[in-house]
Amino acid sequence: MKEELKNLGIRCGLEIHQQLSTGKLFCRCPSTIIEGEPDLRVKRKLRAVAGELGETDEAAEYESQKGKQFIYNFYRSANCLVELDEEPPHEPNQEAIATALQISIMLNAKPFPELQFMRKTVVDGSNTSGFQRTGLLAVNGKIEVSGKKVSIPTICLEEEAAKIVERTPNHDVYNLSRLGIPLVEIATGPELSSPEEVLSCAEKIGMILRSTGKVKRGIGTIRQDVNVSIAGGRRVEIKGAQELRMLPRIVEIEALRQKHILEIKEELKKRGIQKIESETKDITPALKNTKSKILRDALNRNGRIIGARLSGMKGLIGKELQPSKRLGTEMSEYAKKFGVSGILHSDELPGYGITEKEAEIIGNELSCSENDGFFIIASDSKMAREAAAAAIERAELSVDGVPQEVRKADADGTTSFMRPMSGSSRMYPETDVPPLKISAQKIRIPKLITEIADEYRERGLNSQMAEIVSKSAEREFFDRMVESCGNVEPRLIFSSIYVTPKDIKKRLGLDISGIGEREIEKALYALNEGKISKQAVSEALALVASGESIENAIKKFESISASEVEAKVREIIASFKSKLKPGEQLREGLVIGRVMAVLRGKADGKLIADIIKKNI
Amino acid sequence: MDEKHRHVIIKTSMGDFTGIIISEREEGLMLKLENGYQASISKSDIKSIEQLPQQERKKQKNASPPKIDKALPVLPVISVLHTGGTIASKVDYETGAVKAQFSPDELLEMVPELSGIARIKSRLVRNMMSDDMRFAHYNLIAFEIKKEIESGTDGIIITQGTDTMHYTAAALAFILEDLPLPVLIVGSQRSSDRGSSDASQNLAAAAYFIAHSDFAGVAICMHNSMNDGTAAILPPCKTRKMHSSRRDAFKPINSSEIAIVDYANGNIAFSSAKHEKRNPDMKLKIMPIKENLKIAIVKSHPNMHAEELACLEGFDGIVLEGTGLGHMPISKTDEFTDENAKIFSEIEKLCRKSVVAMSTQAIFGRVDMNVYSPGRRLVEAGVTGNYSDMTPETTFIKLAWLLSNFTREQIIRENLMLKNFRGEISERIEDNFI
Repeated sequence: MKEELKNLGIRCGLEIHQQLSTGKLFCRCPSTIIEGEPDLRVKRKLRAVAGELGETDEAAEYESQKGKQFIYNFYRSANCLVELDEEPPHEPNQEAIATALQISIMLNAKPFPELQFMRKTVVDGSNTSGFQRTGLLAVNGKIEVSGKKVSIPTICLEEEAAKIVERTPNHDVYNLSRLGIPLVEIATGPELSSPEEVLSCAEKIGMILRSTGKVKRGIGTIRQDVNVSIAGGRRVEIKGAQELRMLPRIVEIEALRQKHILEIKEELKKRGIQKIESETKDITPALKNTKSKILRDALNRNGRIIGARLSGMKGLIGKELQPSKRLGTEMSEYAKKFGVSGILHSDELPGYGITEKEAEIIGNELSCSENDGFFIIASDSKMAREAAAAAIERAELSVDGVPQEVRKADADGTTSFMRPMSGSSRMYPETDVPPLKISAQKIRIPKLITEIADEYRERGLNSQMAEIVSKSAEREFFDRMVESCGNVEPRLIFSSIYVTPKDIKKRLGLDISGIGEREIEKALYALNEGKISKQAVSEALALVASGESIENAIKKFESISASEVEAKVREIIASFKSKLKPGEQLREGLVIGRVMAVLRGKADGKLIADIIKKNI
Repeated sequence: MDEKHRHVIIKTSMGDFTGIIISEREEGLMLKLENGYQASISKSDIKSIEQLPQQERKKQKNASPPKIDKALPVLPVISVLHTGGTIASKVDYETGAVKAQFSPDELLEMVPELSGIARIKSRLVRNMMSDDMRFAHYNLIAFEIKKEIESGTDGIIITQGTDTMHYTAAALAFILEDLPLPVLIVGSQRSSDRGSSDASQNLAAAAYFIAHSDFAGVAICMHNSMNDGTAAILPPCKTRKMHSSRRDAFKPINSSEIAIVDYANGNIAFSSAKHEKRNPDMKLKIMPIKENLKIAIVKSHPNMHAEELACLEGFDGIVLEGTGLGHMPISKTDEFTDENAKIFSEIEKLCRKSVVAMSTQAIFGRVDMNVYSPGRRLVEAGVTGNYSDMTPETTFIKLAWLLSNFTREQIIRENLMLKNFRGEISERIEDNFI
């Protein structure tokens, strides 16, 4: 761990969401994501409603305040009325439940005797029904990561949400094909205390998930959210880490962000500021002659310039919290939720076309004293005032320390504000799906990929091959071929499946989509039966890539017997001898070249070489 | 918090759980955990249960009548009469199912825009599943409507479950003669506890239509497509629930919608200029349905048995859902069809004492028993309803209403099934179909 992180008291937990490759959870559609022009577009609006104990949920209200229209892209081959919220859910997918149970057991968790699905209110449009169906399957598991015990308090089975396609101020467009794909959610306890531990934990859990063979692969099929807090800070949930490898950097930057926020808190205390005083004011007349493009653009559209004083915050708004992101950036992120493009604050002026004199004028207009900071927003008057209130809210939170938020990870490892953290009151029973009796008795626990890799090593594959096979989707095929082709070396089977096709594409630039398990299988069987030679396998597959059928390709390379080789060699030698001029020697190289051109692949190379030598 | 919701720590072989007990049964209990999930705990796994001090629940404002801003122009009064169903529901913890159990004021709180369209009065008339409704309930609702009109209102919304809405709409249309104002029946296909519920929009569209059009009469107001944004105002006697779950389940049969309402953009598009208009001079007359009437609906099908009709001896009316143009299996054509002759003689028997009315199970299209001889035999036997384009459900309601307000002889002699009382018969069917 880096020196600067060591004494922060970092505590992290992971929340992993993994898509399963079984059919969808609550209907019999396939779990395929389809892109492009939809078969149908359906327009909807959602409202926030009260939960089971009569409480409404803050985050839900926050989202529905915005009153947006949602457009859902419906694809017939992956969607049905269930995803459109036009039909009640069907019986849960048995295969998905069994897989989730396998995972629970492999994580040493205890399943409940009954699985009760809940409705988790979500009104941002990503679920057509206004809620996500989710059920708590098992609890109190644990795994070992880098010698440390990490708890796995909960494992849930739930449905994936629709995929955002486009966001505009008036409407959001969602791709419905993803809605309903089963998702296993695994939450760890906060025992991870370094960026490295977070990565190791995520890798281990990922390996366990892949060991079931029932998880989807590819980008977006697994999501890792990480909760980070430091001593004196607060738990912040970070979503949207694109790759596993980015997790350590994200953790590092967040821990430091919280540290810097706490430094601001300290500084405010030193300055005697217990509460940030702020007033908003329309200061447009004072800046009517500004040459700043940002301000002019807004003014030309009949916008106003709204400013706000922030008591005691001079120099703090510009304090860097993350690489290239300051407190002002966080205030701006709050403001942007109300439609403005951002704020300009005192610590970054003069700048953006605003002169030092203008900055002074603004300060005076807002009655700022020496230690005060300010910000301005140029936009439509109503939006600017709402945005200003939000920015002030974020500024006010500085006195209190780290706001408890849900943040989005960006590609560089920094984060931005997404929404307030929601409470637990937004779940109530999914009464359309009766509780399911759960029995772990008949569940077969698959071997871990790491164990399988060990086994391959014991059977003679080198370490690298063992790892590749154990992780691959083709593992079952590989096992089958090794089993049924006893005369073929496992190494050759390996290269035929994992190396040769890619090699053909690279070397010859051919399209290898025609080389499937069937083609490789036929070639290996032919080799196993002695019909073709070792070299012929890759040659035959190359012919398949050129458009030949595997049967014809194999025929071309069918071995001829030793005596046939002998006869051909003699024939070729004779033809060369007949063309010799008096005194000329027979050139072995030429003979070999001709023979190989004619007999290539039809017999073992060594055999051919021996026969040529014998006959020359 | 009521007694059932005890806040406890339960120690089990799976671990310790803190939460609120939601329900208890023989085998175990349901605990609402702090993370919001409900967990099922087997009695056999429990080591101990310890009571904790009751939690402070977040103060939830009770739904209060909307404040009327006196500065705004006076909005029309709309009376909402609730009869139950999915438009007003909450979760039943005992069975885990959605049950009608919800106060009317809470519903209005869910649809705040109602208070900007009209002054809303709201009353619970009944709290039942629409499948359980009987003729007595139609009469009850009709009298409640009369009461509302007398106490002063500009329009009425009846909320009920969607399953039998088309029956209720037809019944009210017949029962309420000279209705001076609009009575709209509204329901929802998605339970009102969820964010996607069509309840709010259907209610708001109905209120908007009442407040901004001159329409008078009974109608159904529901989504007209799977999209939110518009609702259809549907003719009460020519509409049917055509899908078990879709929002736009209600479709006009052999007819068109009366109007399409886009309440968010303030747009009402009538299909035709001709419709009953408001007339405060009209005096509402109630022509109720006799509650002790026995009317059956029998669906014709291959391999039918005469007993399916014989058991209806003593019924006042029978609606036949015939096949195609209005046929029943009444012809003996070979060695297998002896039963058909028996079926025909049962029909003849029933026609002598009851009123037997034909409709088509094809739903769309018109009954015409002249085209094929089985049809002609049925007419001769006394089956009424030839040329009707009413759905089986409307036929059922109309038959009950006719038998309540006219004699059997009148009905047959004057062919009242084909007399157009409330627009239930279309003399002309245009190209309306699926």
